[in-house]
Amino acid sequence: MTLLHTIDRAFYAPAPAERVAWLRILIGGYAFVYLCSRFEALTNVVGFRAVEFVPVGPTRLLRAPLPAPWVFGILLVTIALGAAFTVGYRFRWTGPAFAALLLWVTAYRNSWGMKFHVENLMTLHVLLLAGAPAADTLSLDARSRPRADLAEHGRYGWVARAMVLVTVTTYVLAGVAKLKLAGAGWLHGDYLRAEIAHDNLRKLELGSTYSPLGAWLVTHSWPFGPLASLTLMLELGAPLALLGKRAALVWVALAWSFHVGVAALMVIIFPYQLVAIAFLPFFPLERWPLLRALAARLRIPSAQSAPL
Amino acid sequence: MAKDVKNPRRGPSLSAEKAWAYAFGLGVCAAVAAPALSEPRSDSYPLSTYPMFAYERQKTRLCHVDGIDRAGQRTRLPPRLVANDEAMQAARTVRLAVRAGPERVALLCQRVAERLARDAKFDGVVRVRVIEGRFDSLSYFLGSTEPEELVVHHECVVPGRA
Repeated sequence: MTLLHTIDRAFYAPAPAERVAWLRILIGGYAFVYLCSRFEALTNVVGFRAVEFVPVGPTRLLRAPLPAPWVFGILLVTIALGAAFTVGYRFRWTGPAFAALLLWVTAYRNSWGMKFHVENLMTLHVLLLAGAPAADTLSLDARSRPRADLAEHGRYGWVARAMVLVTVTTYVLAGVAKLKLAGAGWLHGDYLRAEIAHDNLRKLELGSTYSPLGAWLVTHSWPFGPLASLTLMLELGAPLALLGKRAALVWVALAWSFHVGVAALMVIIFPYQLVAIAFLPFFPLERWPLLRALAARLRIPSAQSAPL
Repeated sequence: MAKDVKNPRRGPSLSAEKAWAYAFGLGVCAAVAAPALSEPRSDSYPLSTYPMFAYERQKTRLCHVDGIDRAGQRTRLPPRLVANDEAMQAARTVRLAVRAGPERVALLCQRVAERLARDAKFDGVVRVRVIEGRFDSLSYFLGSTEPEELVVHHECVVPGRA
């Protein structure tokens, strides 16, 4: 067994078509709901002045902000493509188109001086799904053109592995940034304590919702050393989640708890992580009883998926 | 199950769809990891260095807008009166106006005052100020809520409430 074989077995590991199909439905569905529910936040940038425009990512192609009708129009098309992506309608075209436009509309929102960091992972996951055969089953495409060979295969397995790698990498990067900017001193907890105080102070003074729990906790110094150590361990230790199912479960539970803590102490909401959609690629979700029952009720070709 | 590994000695076989999986899947992973090599403050989207909780925050400098009532008492104004519901985006809007100079600050002040004039929730507010304050982040929650420094960049009257 060569190193290449080991990598191949890990990355191109066989999985049933239903796994990537459920990821398409749940992550695409989440993105669709996100775009609808954040419609106002994604479009009220039309009221900002051109001088405030600081393009990021693909919006660097622009020399000036888009006219308002374009902002609304692109978002409406993105939402329509999000619906097509989720139900798997002409996925070969709607998948990449949705991923590209989702990247565009979220980049455009992040192009006004504030980078929110809450949409990165969702957008990257959708991008990966768009490049995978995610609509071979549990989709409208599969109803009109059923695929004969839906057996477990690497073509259905790699995308979940890539999504896990991307997820893990984002947490490691957050840990690396702390070490680069603050050094090992970040572990003492003073940075974290000041960050929570700073964030709540800004919200209080700016008339926004702040965290009374965070405001109370920063009056004590002792919790912040352990909290800082746990945070850095979670971020730099994220690759341990690749070691196996139990390690993944433990790390996901800790990562989710971390986001609950961030929400409780700073009212910074990472919705994709908090509703746990971000962590679905870590698990063989097609085996979950609820999703198995749903797949059976949908009466969509899935007979060749592996027995569980 | 289709066999991808034909000869263990030769290495894994490479079909077109597997080549795509590796090129695209690992390409995205590599792109996401690339910011690790860059300066952490050079953040972008969707590829980010995720520096959000890594900065030194002992002091908080804030450009913001507040209201003053007839008794001279200060009222905090919500970010939607400045830009939108995002507090940080509103703060950025004020900061950019302050940087751009007095004309822009006056324009912003007037814009907030006009919005405020239509908002019954703040009918006691008669004046609007664009201010910049420097706070000690921890002292603020230990009882010292006044800024260490305060600069009033502009002050304007709410229309109809002079």
